[in-house]
Amino acid sequence: MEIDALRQRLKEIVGQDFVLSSNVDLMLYGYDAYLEMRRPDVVVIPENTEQVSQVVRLAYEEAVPVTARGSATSLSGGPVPLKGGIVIHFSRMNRILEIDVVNKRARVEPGVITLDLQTAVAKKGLQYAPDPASQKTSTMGGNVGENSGGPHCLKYGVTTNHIMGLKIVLYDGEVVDTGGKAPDRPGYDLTGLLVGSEGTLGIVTEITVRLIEQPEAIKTLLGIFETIEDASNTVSAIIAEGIVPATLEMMDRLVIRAVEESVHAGYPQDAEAVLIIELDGLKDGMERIADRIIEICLANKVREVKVAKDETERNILWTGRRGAFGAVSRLRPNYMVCDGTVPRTKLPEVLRRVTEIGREYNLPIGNVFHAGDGNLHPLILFDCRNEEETARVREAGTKILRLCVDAGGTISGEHGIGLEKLHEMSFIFSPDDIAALWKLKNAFDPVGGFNPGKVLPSLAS
Amino acid sequence: MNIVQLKKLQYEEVAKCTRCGFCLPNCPTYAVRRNEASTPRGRNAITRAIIEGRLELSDDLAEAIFTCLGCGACTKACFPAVNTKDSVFSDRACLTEVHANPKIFEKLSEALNEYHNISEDDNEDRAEWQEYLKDVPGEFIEKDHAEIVYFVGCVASFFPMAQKIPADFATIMYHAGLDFTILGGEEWCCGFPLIGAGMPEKVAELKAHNLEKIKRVGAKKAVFSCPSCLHTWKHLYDTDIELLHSSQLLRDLVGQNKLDLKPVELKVTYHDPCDLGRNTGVFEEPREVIKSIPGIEFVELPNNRNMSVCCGGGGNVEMVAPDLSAAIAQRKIEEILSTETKTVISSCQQCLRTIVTNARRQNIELNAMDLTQLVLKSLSQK
Amino acid sequence: MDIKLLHGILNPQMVASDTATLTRFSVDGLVPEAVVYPANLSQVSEVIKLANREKWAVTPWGSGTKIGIGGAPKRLDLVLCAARLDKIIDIDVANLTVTAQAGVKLGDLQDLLGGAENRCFFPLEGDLKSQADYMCSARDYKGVFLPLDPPFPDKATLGGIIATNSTGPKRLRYGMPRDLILGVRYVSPTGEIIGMGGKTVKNVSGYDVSKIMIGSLGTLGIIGDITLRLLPLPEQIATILASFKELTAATAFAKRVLNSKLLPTSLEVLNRDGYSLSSSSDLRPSIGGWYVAVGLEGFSEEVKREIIDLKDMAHFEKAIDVVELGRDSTIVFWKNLANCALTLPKDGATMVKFKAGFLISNFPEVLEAWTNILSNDFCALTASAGLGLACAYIMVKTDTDIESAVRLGKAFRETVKIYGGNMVVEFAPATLKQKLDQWGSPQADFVLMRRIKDSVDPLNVLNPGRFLGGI
Ligand SMILES: Cc1cc2nc3c(=O)[nH]c(=O)nc-3n(C[C@H](O)[C@H](O)[C@H](O)COP(=O)(O)OP(=O)(O)OC[C@H]3O[C@@H](n4cnc5c(N)ncnc54)[C@H](O)[C@@H]3O)c2cc1C
Ligand code: SF4
Ligand code: SF4
Repeated sequence: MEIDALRQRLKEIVGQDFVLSSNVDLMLYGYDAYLEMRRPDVVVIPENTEQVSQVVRLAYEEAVPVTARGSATSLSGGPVPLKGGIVIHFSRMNRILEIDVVNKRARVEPGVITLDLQTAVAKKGLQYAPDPASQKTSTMGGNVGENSGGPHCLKYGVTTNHIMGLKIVLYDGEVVDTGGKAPDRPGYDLTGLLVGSEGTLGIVTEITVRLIEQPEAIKTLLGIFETIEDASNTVSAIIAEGIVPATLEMMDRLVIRAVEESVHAGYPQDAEAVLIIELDGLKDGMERIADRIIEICLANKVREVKVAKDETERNILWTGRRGAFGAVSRLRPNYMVCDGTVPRTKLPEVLRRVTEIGREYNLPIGNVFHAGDGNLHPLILFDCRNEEETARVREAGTKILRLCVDAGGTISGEHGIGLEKLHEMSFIFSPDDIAALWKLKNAFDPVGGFNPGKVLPSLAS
Repeated sequence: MNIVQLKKLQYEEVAKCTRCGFCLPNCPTYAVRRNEASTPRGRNAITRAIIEGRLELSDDLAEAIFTCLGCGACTKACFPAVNTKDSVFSDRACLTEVHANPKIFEKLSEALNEYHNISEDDNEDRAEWQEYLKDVPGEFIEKDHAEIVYFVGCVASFFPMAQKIPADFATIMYHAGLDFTILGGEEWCCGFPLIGAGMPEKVAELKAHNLEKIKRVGAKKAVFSCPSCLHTWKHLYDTDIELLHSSQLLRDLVGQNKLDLKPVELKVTYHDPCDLGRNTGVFEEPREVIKSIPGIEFVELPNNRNMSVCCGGGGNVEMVAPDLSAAIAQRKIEEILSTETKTVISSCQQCLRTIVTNARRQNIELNAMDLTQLVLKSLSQK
Repeated sequence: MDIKLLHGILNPQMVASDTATLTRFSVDGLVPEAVVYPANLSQVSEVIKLANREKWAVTPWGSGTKIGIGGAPKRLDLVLCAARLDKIIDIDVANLTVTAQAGVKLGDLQDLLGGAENRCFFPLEGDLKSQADYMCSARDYKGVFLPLDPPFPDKATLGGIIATNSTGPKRLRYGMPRDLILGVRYVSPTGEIIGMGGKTVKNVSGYDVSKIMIGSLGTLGIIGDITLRLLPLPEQIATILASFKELTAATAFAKRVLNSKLLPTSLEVLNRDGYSLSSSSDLRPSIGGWYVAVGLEGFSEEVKREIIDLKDMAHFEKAIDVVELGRDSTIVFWKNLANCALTLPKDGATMVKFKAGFLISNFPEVLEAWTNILSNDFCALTASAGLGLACAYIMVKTDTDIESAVRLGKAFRETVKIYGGNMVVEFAPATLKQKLDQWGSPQADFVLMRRIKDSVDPLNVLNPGRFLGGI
């Protein structure tokens, strides 16, 4: 089918206004928060599952690739339409369909913004736990696509631990439900496989999530350290103490400074590292545990431990943390974040090697990360307009991921493989492993129409 | 403006955009249109693509670039603080240069050239609002010399719906014993609409004229009831005299106990105009004035101060995409109603006009008042 | 089948074909032709490759505690017993992870973990290398644990638990295998050794394959080793037991607990027979016969506060009796409950177990309905109020017993369906399974399951016919 005819058919499905194909629009649907860009042939903004299903069926009949897109905040090229074709933008499917307080479940469309869901359920005394730093703009569909994590995932687990069921459109347009509100449906855990599949197995049009009670009490501490080693040791020591806090987040000096320039979160500019430690749960005993944590910090030469006095102070600490990625682009226009993850005991060692790599490649590296989970985020700062520098950054990034794998870790903790880390997949997977993944891909998407070129390297390479 | 100039002016700014998308939920145009072209991120990407030669300056671009409200909400959500609105206005200048701008702006520019006001009225009619003055003698308002010049602005001068505002403000100043004057037919448009129209160079003549007139009056201060006029003066006019918004002047008068405020039993909320709040930094003065009136019950809007959402009247969007402007206004009205108040106070005539027009169109019962009107109401209570 | 082919892979002693062994490893009456005991994953891999060449049907066997789950196999040539894959590969206490082979028994592993040394870590500074340079925490209780409490903890193997997605009451607080699994190495149905995930607590590299391995009943691969998350042992544990005259009061109490800020580890509602399985001598059995057991774990202040609040709540809902179990009786109580099915079989009877999942909000209705259709004979009910799960244990001896169990199962399933749920037959004699589908009927998403199975096991070698929809 000619592209114009395809666009015409799409207009019949979703309506004139919601099919975009101008030169400008195609350029704008070719990017996410990663570096690579590719243009789609056409963009649709559907309103409901039925429309998505029809779009996918048409794409199947015409052998055109389909890529789903939420807010395009992916850091690995997830929603970039590598092979062109149709981009489905979920911005209009943003309704919260149901909040079931008794069963502690919510049903949402994929375009719902994570924070909007959180705010809505908070009004009913409940919470949706996964809190990626991008929560105020990321969509639930994107969170499911990437299996996003966040600071509180240390205690509560990542997105997949909170997804009960999905409605998905299959490669030929058929619509099926996986999982559901009730537990333990017999059969394979398709939901678990779909979460984190980056839109390569099916298009999600509805998501059923698990909600939990809001904690009775929260206590947030800010530990200020003179060296990054002291801070890392503190992380290990807290876990060794048998305490699993709600969060254990670390930021180093470079990031602290950038954040302080953006918002005054109250991080001291001359500190080498800060830890945000949050406890939540029953109020009983929390005081003693907090004291114990402070003792551990002191034993590890903390300069000062500040305790957030109220909700406002707590919010500002978190605002700073969430804005960390953005804030560093005050220093250099671009950053590349290596999402490598290591067993948490390996953290101090790996951090030290990361600093060395920065020196070796003469690149500034800032660190802001989920220390409790061993999920690093070295931010390599650069200007993508400088090609030589960009090439160096890619090399350093690969080296950092290699380092993580050598330490018993993996190449992505929460941002996904996308098209960014295809090459590095071979660091952790054998050709047999990759072939096994391809078999699953083929079972879901035998024609290879969904988000082609992502997650799985081709078998030959 | 050409692409070389655009690059010089805006390349470093838009290069800071990491496409993180944090600005998306803050942009009123995205909330309505739901497409990437209506996001700050998209607009910055367009600017960047133009500079890098990946996009032609064409009519295709105009839609995205001319539907930005210039409200600045995106920059507040942006950790590297990318100034999207200024880049967008530079883009508009480039598009104008190659005649890819909406034709309506050519008309606007002609009108300003000929009439020196946006409503194509005889500029001598600028003082028409004085008909609303009750107990203020005319000679108090048009003097050759005065300490303060009141720069009324086009909207308040010509739109019947807004004309009571300057009258009320003048009355307050008169009762407070201030030495002030207006420029009358010698006041020309400040040039603000031209910036939004992508014709910044055309501001020069208007600016020179206005500066000259003010100088002649020998004023030490200029006071504005229109935040956009104030903003334009602050940023484009080089002058030593003190520039104030009416809400700031009112706050000073309250502070000096020069106003005999009497109780008004009313529940009100306050809308921060973009150009006064976020873009000039005046948040607290209007609130202090409102709260100093006895009997007022004040509630904040859910999105207030830096997070305030544009009324839909910014960036000349009303002229190119009235449906978009109206839909944004509708959302603003819903936000106001969510506070369970029937009265919204603002301190921008353009905001009030947008809100009132759309409320009427929808038959929504909503009372929108300028801060000056609220103050006068309080003064005139028995 | 030609057993000699196996001798090329395994020591002939590890290939059994004597009648006694074969009968012991029969599945739903089907007797295999051989049983193999591979020592490592490469042997498993070779055996499976051979099975593909020879088109044998293979059933993986853990400890057999759950071999009754699933339909009768369509074919059975070979049983692959994981008993020798019983090595604990790595306990990383400071990282809170364990890696162990599929044949490791949960009970053995928990014993080791509970005694694991005080948690120490290696500080980053200078050239500290020796043992003496480790920094250790000063806390006075030690040990970690795997937060899984499936039935038969002493017998169940990790591989079996994963393959059947077996859970217990503590799932309320700690989640299920899918929430704890970090990595898995398995032999695919075509014989390749596949490794996914690892020791990191977060991982989104590639598809989350371990998720579909869980509960797939060995139809997608033979699990070799598994990496799981651990937790520090809680400082304090306790249990609150309360008895109620009416079911409504028991469920009202449960609901009150769920809607509070308390964080119980388990919340079980039991009928009189159910309670008798785990019976604690601490609580006076009461007339009316509904019991609620609330497990508590955490820091001592938390547990103390929870006990006080729970007692108040129970009294508010007119509990007949409320008692608090200390550390030791708590361990005994929950262990008895987990092993309850073991204590059952008497005078030649076989146990039938139905397990249902449904909406939490319908918990009282489901229990009510089930109680109403119960026969007068022994029928133990245990149900997790916070999860929407219920189990029924019934004893069958004669054909008539089986007929009535089938009727009961069908009626249970109908009831649960109304409340958005499902029911599976977890244990039953083959004769019952012929009359009552173990899994219930598949739904629209079954097309995907079928395609997955066909894609990874084209010759249908692993456990043919045992899974949902005849997979
Ligand atoms: C500043 C910043 C901070 C971040 N912080 C975190 C963090 O703390 N933790 C974290 O995990 N991530 C983080 N991210 C990454 C990113 O925000 C997450 O991956 C997020 O979940 C993406 O959501 P999105 O709506 O932008 O999805 P997109 O980027 O649009 O899409 C992500 C993937 O999901 C797929 N997808 C989207 N919708 C659907 C659907 N309906 N059906 C099927 N597939 C779909 C897409 O095809 C794509 O592969 C951060 C990103 C930025 C820019
Ligand atoms: S303008 Fe700022 S907030 Fe918006 S995408 Fe760019 S960097 Fe992010
Ligand atoms: S200035 Fe306002 S309308 Fe324009 S892009 Fe920014 S937020 Fe959107």
